[in-house]
Amino acid sequence: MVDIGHLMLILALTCAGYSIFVSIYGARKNREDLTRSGEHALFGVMFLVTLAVFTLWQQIFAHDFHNEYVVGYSNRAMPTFYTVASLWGGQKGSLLFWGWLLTVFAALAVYLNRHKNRELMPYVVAVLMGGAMFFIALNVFVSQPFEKLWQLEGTTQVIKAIMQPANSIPYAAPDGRGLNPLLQHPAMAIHPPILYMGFVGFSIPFAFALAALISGRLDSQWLKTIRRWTLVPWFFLGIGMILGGKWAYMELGWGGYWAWDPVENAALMPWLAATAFIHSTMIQEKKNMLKVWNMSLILLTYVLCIFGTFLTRSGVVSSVHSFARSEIGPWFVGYLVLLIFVPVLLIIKRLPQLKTTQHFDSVISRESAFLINNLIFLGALFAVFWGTIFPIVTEAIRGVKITVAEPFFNKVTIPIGLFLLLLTGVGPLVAWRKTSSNLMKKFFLKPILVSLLGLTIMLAFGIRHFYALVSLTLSIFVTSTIVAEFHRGARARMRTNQEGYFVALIRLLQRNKRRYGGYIVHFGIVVMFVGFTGKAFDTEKEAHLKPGESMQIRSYTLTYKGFKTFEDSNKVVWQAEMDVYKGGKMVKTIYPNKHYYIVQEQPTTEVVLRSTLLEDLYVVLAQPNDDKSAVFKVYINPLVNLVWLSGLIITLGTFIILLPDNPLKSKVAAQRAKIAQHEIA
Amino acid sequence: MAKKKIKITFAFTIISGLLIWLTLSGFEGEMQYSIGIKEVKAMGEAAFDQGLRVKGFLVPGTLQRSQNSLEVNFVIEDAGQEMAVRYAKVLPDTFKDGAEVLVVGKYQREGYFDAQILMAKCPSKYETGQEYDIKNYDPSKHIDELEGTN
Repeated sequence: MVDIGHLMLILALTCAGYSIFVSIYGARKNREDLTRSGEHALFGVMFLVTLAVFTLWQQIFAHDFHNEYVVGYSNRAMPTFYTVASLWGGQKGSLLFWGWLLTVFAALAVYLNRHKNRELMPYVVAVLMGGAMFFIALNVFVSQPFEKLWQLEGTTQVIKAIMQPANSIPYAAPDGRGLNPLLQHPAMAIHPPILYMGFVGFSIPFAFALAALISGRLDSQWLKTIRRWTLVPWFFLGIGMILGGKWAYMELGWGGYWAWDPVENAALMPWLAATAFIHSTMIQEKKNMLKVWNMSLILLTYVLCIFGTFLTRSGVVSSVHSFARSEIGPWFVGYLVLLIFVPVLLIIKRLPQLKTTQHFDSVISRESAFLINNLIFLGALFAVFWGTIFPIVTEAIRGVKITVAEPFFNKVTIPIGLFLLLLTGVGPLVAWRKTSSNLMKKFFLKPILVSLLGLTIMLAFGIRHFYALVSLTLSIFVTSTIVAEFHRGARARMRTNQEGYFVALIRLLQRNKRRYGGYIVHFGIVVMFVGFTGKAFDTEKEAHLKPGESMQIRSYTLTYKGFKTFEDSNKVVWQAEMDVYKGGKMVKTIYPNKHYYIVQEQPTTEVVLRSTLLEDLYVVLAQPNDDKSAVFKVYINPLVNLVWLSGLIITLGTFIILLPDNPLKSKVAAQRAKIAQHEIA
Repeated sequence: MAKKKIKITFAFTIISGLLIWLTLSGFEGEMQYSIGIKEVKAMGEAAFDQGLRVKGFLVPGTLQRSQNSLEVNFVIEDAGQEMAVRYAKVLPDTFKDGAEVLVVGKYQREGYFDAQILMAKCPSKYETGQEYDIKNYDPSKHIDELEGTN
């Protein structure tokens, strides 16, 4: 008997095929009964995949070690929290999880548009179900999460198969192998689903863009519809990367959080494209320009999501945390080819309708500032892309794999990043169209003075690191432009509405969520850059200490008191004890650990931190010796906490942007905007 | 109008050019060649001043730790060829006998590989491409559990 979960997936696949067919046919023949039926089928697919997911979860929780996947990624000893994560801990489960998220997002999008965008929706449904079919098909044919273990009768040989092979009896392993202990960390448990919400979420704007191309409804309606649908996955992708960084920092014990690993780049690339898109759509909304460009950017974003997944899963590039080489590579290549060719052909076909009537007015205008922003984002994307696929390209052309690593990426992306930081300050202030030099002076004089003052202070304190000086000066500049914007806006409200300063600030934020929420996100980016800059001032030291001995690093003295060893049901623990003194005063006792997981035969390094906003003291127990001496690796990482903090600020800003507008007020605002536009024209 | 257009196009061309130059020049001096152990040894003089990425499997029993520093020496093996490696940073947790090891660094005249980066993939963990390892289980002992999950 085939597993019920597998059966659900087969049904879902059929149902998705039906949905595509009736949606397209219904749209062509103008038959609403058919297109509605397509939408209902989409809900059905969501329902069926949900059942399959819960079937797998049920098997994981019931410790059903007849299922090969359950054996591979869970065991009896794992805490419940991580047992939930077993669903996406391995390749097969994570593909199922991906497909599930896709159908859930699709159902939500279709539901929210049940009275809107009627000409677009059938094609949106068809595109989304096409994507769903791809992932479900992978689960049905290639990477099957419901494969069972079977023992051939009369032998000790165990094989895996969906259907019971002849002459075999069901076999259940006594216990599973469990999730890799390295992955048993809170940040790691939520990092994959959040990252996936990013990757998968871009399917929705992609589907709307493609639907607009297919149906020829190329006015800005589709763009308006997907505004939130773009921001949400963009946000998840960003937060997912930060969480991944946090996990690497806490769990891998090498003192850093980003290594330009292909898997990390796989998430960064679509994020860069999406960030460019989020900026350039504002031009299309306001001025109806850059239609082809925007269309291409959102299609590119989705292609990069799939490309990133392909990189991670196919084993074409070597990475620390990639899944193993597997047979799904060719499937992804096929899907990618389809994803590139169909949109390109459609764009060419619709080119006449996508032509813009407006033109750029000036080199220094907000449009051109946005376009330069886009150019730089794509430049960064280009650099990361080439760096990532360089081994594949060189192997194909020259027969030898040539890899570029961290130094290359730092060399190229640091200047690009700093230029983007500068634009973060300049771009939003350069008015639409031509900017008068008077206005420029008014907006920029104070921020420039403040940042020069900051620069002088940093020089006086002896900071000589070039990039650090540039980065920090720019950060001060951007921050002061943002503060000035809030201040100007609040003052204007105080005058016109007779409000107090604080009320004015809050109202300002309420009335212009996108603009001022955007500023908050920008401020988060500034904080993140300051955090990155801390890297320029880090230091590390290694020491071999006997109990009672001390080591010195910057203003810290660490006194090693010895270690104890103890054991619990699944691991052996070496726990060192150290007193931390700063400037002669004892501040903390820390216990760096090394664990050894018995079942998995794997050690894990448990880093300890003495963390302040200014710097982290990061201590690794690298090697406990038999004579009670131990080797420690100690890092001082300045400003790292700002990177995590920036995630919170970006979350706050995004949340404000996403808040629904008061419908009445937004109508008034739209009217005003119309009048304003007339006045400008 | 035409003049403006030229100006804008010019500005964008310059910026794009700069970006492309930045990327391409970034490759210089940062390229690491992925080659096998056999090829490293066959390279002769050329091997010493080239960034190399070499893959192999940690030969069980060859790992030598030092008591008072992080320095470790070990041997990796691939396709019958062996190479000595020295590494002096914190070892990744996945590093253990039989693990697939990728070392990045330079081959030294003294006949060992000076690794600056070390990545290790343990033979059975994150991965699923691997066949299910049944050798660890003796099914005959677990007949009762077999029936339980039927």
